[in-house]
Amino acid sequence: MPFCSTDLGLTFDPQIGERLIDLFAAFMLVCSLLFLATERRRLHVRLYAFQSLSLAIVAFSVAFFQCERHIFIAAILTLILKVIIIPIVMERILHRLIPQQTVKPAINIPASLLIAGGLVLAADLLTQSILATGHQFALAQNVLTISIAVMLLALLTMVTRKKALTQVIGFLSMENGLFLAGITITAGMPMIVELGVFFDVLVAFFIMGVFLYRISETFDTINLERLTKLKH
Amino acid sequence: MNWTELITGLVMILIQLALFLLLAPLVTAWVRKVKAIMQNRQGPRMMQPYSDLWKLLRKEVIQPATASWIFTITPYVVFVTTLSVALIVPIFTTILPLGFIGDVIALVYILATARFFTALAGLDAGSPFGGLGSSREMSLASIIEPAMMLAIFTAAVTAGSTNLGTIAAQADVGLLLTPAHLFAFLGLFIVAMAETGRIPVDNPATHLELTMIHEAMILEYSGKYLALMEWASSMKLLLFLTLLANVFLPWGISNDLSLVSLGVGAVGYGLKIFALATVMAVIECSTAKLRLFRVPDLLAASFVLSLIALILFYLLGGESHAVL
Repeated sequence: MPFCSTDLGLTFDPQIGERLIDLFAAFMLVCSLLFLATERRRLHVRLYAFQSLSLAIVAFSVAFFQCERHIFIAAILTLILKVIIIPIVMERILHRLIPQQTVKPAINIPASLLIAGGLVLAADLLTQSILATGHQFALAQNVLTISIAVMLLALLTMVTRKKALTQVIGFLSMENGLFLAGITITAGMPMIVELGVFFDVLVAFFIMGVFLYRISETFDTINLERLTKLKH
Repeated sequence: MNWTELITGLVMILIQLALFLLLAPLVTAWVRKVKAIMQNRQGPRMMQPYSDLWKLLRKEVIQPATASWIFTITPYVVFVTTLSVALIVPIFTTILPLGFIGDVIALVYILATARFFTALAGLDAGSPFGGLGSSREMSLASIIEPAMMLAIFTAAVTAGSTNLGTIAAQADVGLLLTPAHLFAFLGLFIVAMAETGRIPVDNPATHLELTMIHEAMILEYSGKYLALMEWASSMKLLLFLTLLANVFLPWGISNDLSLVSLGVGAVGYGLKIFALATVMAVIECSTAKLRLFRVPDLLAASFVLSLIALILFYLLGGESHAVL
């Protein structure tokens, strides 16, 4: 049976848990930013694995310090699915894809990074207006800002990058942001909802993997611009 | 100020200067050693940089025919400016006797002076490589400097002071970095790699005309001038590692002058520097050098990381310890 801080009879300074969560949430944001800063596919996969690992650590901390036992299950699932299985499968897809020239992003890297900076600001404005309604959240503003920023940056990745693989990564990273918001604001949704989301993501990922492979086979590239004219 | 204070201050200044001068080649040697081990080579022994410097200092100086006085004074300017920065950076105690002579802003611009003279000397030597190196160095510097300023400002705003000793003393946040510090640390780390000419940006071990930046500017130097330039660049590496270690990870740094806390500070400082140097060497081994035109992408990432650090600090309700 998983245990949490009060079971062990330990009392921690509540600050420690909160700072641990803040720090690893910040690591997630760093990863989202690096998705935009690099073009290397293999690095993208590793960054995704690292982002998911940080998410798992946040989930473990929430479970441990706030004594929300069912989040342990979510954390373990995150660890198995997003840190191990999805990256491994994605590496295998990468092996089977046809090597290709680099595809220029729609907006170049420095510009998209600057937009990313603006998006973090926007995320914060959004958080301020949510908090202004007077809701009290478990771990409120720090992590809420970061999770909204992670979602917005993932959206930016999906919009500006033309490669199908990068768009899949963007989608998965957006789900990471959502999950972060979920566990830290509500201190855990009902278990059944979380399990449902996990299986959704897994199924979506596999369907996208198959699509990626098909697109690559048919068009000899995963540059999605080619899909605008659906004849070849 | 009484005599004992004055003498303690003087002793501390001397210790700090000696440490920087003597430790810098060792750190360079360590980075080379780690790289060699990772590449399955034996690598030069740890004392090699000292022997190199000693040999170079006794060698004859050959000047290009076109060189003017700028070429002659540059090594001294670069060496002295780098060494003087060492006086305003906390090493293992946050008490800086000469802290009043300059803060982080002075630090950035003293380093810029050294860069300015190096670039001039590169042009002055009259070889085409020198000019090429200078132009590359200055164009990169225009992106590096704002990123560096932003990263350091984040730390300064958090501490409410631009004095590096105060920043190090205030940044003591327990074992965990705050999100803002994390971002600023990463930003400054990229800046440090670029400033000290490490691999994703420049390669310190090559003289290949297509890629070199820093080496191109000092290509015409020989003898004791080259020794001063090399020594200054290893001091610059140590300087950036010290900044990273003490501004963002001030674990164990001593806040008073008792022997115990100074000892803890010294040991902690040594461990931090060698850990950071190892990380740098590992990054150098595991990445390929970027094409020159891709370097701005990396530096833009550093700039945005620092920018987000500031945003996170202000907007996440970070409270400054400012006594402005």
